[in-house]
Amino acid sequence: MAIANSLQTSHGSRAPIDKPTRHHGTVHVIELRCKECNFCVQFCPEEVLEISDHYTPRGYRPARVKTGKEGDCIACRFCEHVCPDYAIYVVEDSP
Amino acid sequence: MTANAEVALPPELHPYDHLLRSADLPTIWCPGCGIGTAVGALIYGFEQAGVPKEKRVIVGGIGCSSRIVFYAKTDAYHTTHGRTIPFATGLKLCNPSLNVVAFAGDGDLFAIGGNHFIHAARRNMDILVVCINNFNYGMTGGQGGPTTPAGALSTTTPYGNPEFPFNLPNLAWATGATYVARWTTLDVRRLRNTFADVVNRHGFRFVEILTPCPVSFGKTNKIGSGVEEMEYYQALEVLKSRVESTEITKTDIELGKPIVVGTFVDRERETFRERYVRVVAKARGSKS
Repeated sequence: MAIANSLQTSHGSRAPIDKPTRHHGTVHVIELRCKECNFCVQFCPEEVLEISDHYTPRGYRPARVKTGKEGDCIACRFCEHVCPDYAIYVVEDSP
Repeated sequence: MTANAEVALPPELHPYDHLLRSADLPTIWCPGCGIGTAVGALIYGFEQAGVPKEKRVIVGGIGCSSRIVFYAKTDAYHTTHGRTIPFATGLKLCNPSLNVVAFAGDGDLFAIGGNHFIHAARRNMDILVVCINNFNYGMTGGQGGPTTPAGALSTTTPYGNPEFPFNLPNLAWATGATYVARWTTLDVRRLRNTFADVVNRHGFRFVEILTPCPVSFGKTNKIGSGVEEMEYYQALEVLKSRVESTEITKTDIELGKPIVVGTFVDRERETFRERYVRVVAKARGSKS
């Protein structure tokens, strides 16, 4: 009974046993290195990235974070790993 | 300069910048090419496996993939066409403490360097061979090669390739490699873990990486850009690890058919050096 009580929250509903952990990250794009290959944009699981509308001096449109999606990165780092030009990286926010 | 002089802001740093000759970035490879991804995975593998920086050696041949020697900040050698494995063999035998990786393309390793490959595998030479397989000679204009799938178009096979290609994992297994894996650049996480796992192992290890080639193979075969070739892999990939020896013959790559990826072979065999040292000891013992 004591265990059952400890699972009750103040609202009376059962509290989750595992605290859900959701990682958050901040995406950084090194624009001068980006060659617009679209790998990060296409394979981001949260669809955080898009191609921007300005050009770099090398003539490519670099990737950027969609407006309003800044908080949606889950720090899976797939973009960082798949980028062939080391132009994008993720810094994980401390929880 | 005084101590109070204004310090310039550091440039934006990628976590790999200390492992790369970052002043030369972006890489020379076409947009949509996956070789950079494979290079990143390899240097991650070195870092993760804790190989000391002065012990890492990368040997490249001739071709797009061999440009790795200009971007990886390690000791790296740019050798002649097809002679990647002989050069790596010499390095490893002279200085066995080095961690030698032969990183070359399919044309380099299996066309002009085909014999070197099978004999290094037969001897169980202590090197890691990474093959960037883009199914054609990308740098010279998309000619067909020994890995071009049957029926595929290339600049030298404009009506479809009449030849059958090599099945590289099968070839490596049959000639005696101790570790054989095949991944695409889309499986970058598995690829990174594979490299972290195998760089410190012994014996002849072979990793085949299927890479998009948007300007040659993708364009002539109407697959499209690099992203579309990655989507092609995503749709057709079948993961099958530790396949039986009878199954490895079923890993052929055909256009539009499922592509089997995974770690196919993982076995132990005595390396060339171990056996050679024994022979030398025996010879010296009989003389004295």
